[in-house]
Amino acid sequence: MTGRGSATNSASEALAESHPDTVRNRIKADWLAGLSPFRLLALGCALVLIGAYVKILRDLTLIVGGTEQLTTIVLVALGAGLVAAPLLSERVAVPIGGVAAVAGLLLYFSVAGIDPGMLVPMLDTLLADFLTLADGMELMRVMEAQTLAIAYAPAPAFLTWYLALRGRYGAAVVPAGLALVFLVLTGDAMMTPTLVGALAGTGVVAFGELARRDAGFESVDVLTVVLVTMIVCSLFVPFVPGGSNGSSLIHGIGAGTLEGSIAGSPDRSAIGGSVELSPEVRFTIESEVPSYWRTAVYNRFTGDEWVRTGEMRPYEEPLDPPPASGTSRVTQTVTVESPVEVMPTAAAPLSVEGDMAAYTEVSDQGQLYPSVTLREDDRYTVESAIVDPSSRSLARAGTDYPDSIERRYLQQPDSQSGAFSDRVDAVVEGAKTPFEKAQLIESHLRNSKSYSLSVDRPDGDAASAFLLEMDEGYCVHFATTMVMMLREEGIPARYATGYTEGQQVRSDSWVVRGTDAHAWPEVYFPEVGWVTFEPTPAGERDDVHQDRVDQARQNGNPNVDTDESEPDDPDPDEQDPGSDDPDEQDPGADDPDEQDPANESPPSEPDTNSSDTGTTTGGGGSGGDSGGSIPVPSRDQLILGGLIAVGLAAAAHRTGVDRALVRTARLYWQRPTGDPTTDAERAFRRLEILLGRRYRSRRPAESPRAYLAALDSEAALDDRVYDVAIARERATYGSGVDPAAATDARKAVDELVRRYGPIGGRDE
Amino acid sequence: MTGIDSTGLEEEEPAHDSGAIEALPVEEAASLCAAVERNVAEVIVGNEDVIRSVVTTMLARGHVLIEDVPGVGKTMLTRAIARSIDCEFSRVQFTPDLLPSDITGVNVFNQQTRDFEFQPGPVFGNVVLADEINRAPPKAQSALLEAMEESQVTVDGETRPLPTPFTVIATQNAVEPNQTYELPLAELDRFMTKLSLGYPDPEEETTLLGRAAAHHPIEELDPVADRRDVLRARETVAETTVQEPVREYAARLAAYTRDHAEIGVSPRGTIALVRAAMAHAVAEGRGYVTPEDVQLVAPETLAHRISSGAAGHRDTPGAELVADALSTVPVE
Repeated sequence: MTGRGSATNSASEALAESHPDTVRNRIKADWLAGLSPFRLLALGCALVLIGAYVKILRDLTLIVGGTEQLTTIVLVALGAGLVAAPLLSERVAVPIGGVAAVAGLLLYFSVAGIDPGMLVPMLDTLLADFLTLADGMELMRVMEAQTLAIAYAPAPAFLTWYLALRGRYGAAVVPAGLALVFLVLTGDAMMTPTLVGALAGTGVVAFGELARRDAGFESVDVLTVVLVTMIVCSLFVPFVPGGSNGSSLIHGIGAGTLEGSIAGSPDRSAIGGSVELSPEVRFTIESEVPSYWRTAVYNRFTGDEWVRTGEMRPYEEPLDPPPASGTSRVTQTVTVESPVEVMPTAAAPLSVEGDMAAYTEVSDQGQLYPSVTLREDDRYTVESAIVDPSSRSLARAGTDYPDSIERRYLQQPDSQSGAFSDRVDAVVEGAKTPFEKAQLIESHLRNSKSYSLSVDRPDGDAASAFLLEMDEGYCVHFATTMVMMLREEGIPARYATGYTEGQQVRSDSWVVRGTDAHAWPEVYFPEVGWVTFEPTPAGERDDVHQDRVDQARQNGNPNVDTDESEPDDPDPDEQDPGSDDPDEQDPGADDPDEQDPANESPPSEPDTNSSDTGTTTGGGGSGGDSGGSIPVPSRDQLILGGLIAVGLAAAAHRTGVDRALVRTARLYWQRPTGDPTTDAERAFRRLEILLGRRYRSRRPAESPRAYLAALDSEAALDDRVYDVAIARERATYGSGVDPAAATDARKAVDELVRRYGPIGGRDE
Repeated sequence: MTGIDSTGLEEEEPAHDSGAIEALPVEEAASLCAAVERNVAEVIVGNEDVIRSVVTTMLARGHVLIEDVPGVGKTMLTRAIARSIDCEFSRVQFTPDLLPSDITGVNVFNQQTRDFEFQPGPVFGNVVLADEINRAPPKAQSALLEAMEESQVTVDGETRPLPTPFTVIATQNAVEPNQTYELPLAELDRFMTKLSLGYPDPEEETTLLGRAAAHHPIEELDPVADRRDVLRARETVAETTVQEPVREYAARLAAYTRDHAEIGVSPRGTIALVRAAMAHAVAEGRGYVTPEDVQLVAPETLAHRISSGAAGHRDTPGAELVADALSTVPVE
């Protein structure tokens, strides 16, 4: 802080040299007196801009922790800006902001275990890191996200606020704007905060400019047009990479399918609502033993989706085997039957053989991913080490977890509630070892919840919602909840997705379909490794999924079977539609009311909801029920409509179209007022507009009669024109006009407008 | 040299029944105007506008100043109008030696009654032609102007009302400006309208010659109305509606002249403007004044009241300024 003090002194000396006294006085005067409405708006926008990128960081800290520190440090930065604005010159304050930014980064590197002293020689590595980030790797996938968020936040906030307060609006946008752009490039920024930030940045510059020019409020119309255009365009052109919610789930496999939501994206996996199952065959796997075919592993939970942190690295050498002593090696040969972007293997994969090795990447979690889309008839062979520990070895495993495991697999979102923790404690009460706890949790979920593919997307934290509120769900909910419950108990666990073993067609061959898509928890045991648990009620799940396959076969879907997988002896019942009501086959289509414990519907209630084909519902949950209701525009649509209306109005005001429109509207529409004077005057005004469009407008100093006479000398006017003029003259200048004459005048103009008006009028 | 032409001024009393005079319906007043104008047009060729203006000024209780070269029919016009409405016509020829009493009249000692008897001057007429008013010195001019303003004359301490209607039609010679007593602006202001006849075009002059060569047509002119009709028509004018927008318009015109000239239109001028417009509206058969009425009468009622300040440059700026005002001030 002494450094800052001396800097202030030298700055004031510099000022005193060039402009004795006046500069500082002027700055103070600006600062105190310049609180015009536009300046307030510009400052407000600056705060919103800061708020936009801080909000993104805050959302991040809600998951990884550190929300309070982030809020505190941003508030401190804003306070510093407020204090610095009247005291420090820009030559001092801007470097301070820069130093703060660098210090923040150094802090991050020190926490991340990188020696700051090594930074200079490592500059290219550092640069590469940042380029990687900017290339779309989200902060959320960086291990020390919390530190980075806190280190990243204060400097732009300070600089932007400081510059805005000093009236340097253009420059003020830069720091916070850059911060926001960086978050956009990393893919952390969601649509809304990005848009709000961009609008606020525009607002800072525009309002700042208006404040400087002391402009009137009517000049806001241009700004309104610009802002509304930005908002509206953003809705049609998603400029945030991966920012529009949900679209990142679409990776070759359709959104809204269970498979799409759990096996679609390698980076993240969202917890959704109702899903459908695709019965198409995905893989044929030749393996000596069946297994869950794992395609992805996630470690970080945000409350509504799973994220895989860490970098992908190319597969170069066989992976480390699990620490367990008694693992068996299994070689699987996978034939792809339809295009996919995943690489199912039995856990834990060790090596890839053949050409495929060159196209394989390995995640931080030890899962294999293809770097290309796999096409039909692509084949690869993987060797896996299957961990099959005895219950005894698991019970003995203890809690001596390696640091790297604890760091990655114990994260919990800040959004998790206390009630969740209480419930978990109740479930695992009495259990001593992690294994016992895991078993208790597994059986609790299996027994207390039932399986259904048609559920509403859980609100808020998915794990809490499923444990505390929901009665049914599918594998995603079961697996997520189990992982979070284990973490709550301090047991490292992670979320894995992939496929169940599939249909056995030969002793060593398995056909895997879309319906086999699955998600399950893996729990870490020291000296053993990752062990798969299964909280999803197996029987119910199999029934649902098999029904879907049978139904698809019945419908003649060509991709349901391979040559081998067709049933040798088709069940005659299934061939007979009459005896097999498809609705009854479909437990997933249960009435949504069943979710409500207060309303226990009998299972025999006729089912109106064919939700096996229902797609993901965004939380409304009304699914197919809303068939008969009148479509009501949603709140968003109303807001959008309102915005567009405001923008159009402002544009119209700017271009004068509104006045022309009002004139035209007045021309066509005259409501009798009951006052003959007013009626006659309005009729004449309409007549004047009509004549103005057809010939020329009346000059201000021209009397109406002289005007009509002038027009008449050019082109003979309709006689009714004079009638109207005289009626109006009586009304305006005389002692009044009788109602009949006023009505006649109005009707005469109606007729004239119909005949000669701009719309539908015929020119002669 | 006192050219007093007192064509029968015996009936002294003016009809004191003005309170009981009932206004003519607008249509009748309009047809009266039209009849008078038609009648006058029998002897005056062309100049319909001027005839209309003289008639309407009379109905608006104003006085007319006609400035022109000699011999274009100023006197003829005045006499024709007086004759058409069956009113007393008298004439004062203004000369440099004209005395005020030559206008107002004098008390003459009557030997028989051994008493002073008032011998009324030519001002005691309904239509008084004050010919070449700028040839008389200011003293004589002011005697007439006072009579115009107050509709009464005071001779030897006795005030005598003038007959009604009482309209002075003064003429002013535009030639020989060096031998004249130019009327001061303050006195010009008392004339409601200032007109100019101008030369007839060749066609009109041919017609004129055809009529005038044979006999004096004015002798054959028959009255088309009587004095009472004129008084009733005046009431009609007085009752004409002038709505707020028109009053505003007149006021804005006056304000415009005040803004753009050293001396603009006085409030008396504005009143004259509106009254002339009222009369014009009646002549058009309307019971209300429109801005067109104001516009039509504005040049003749306003131009002569405007001065750019420098003496001798009155007329041109006035007419131009009024034209400017009319093309600038917006009409509601």
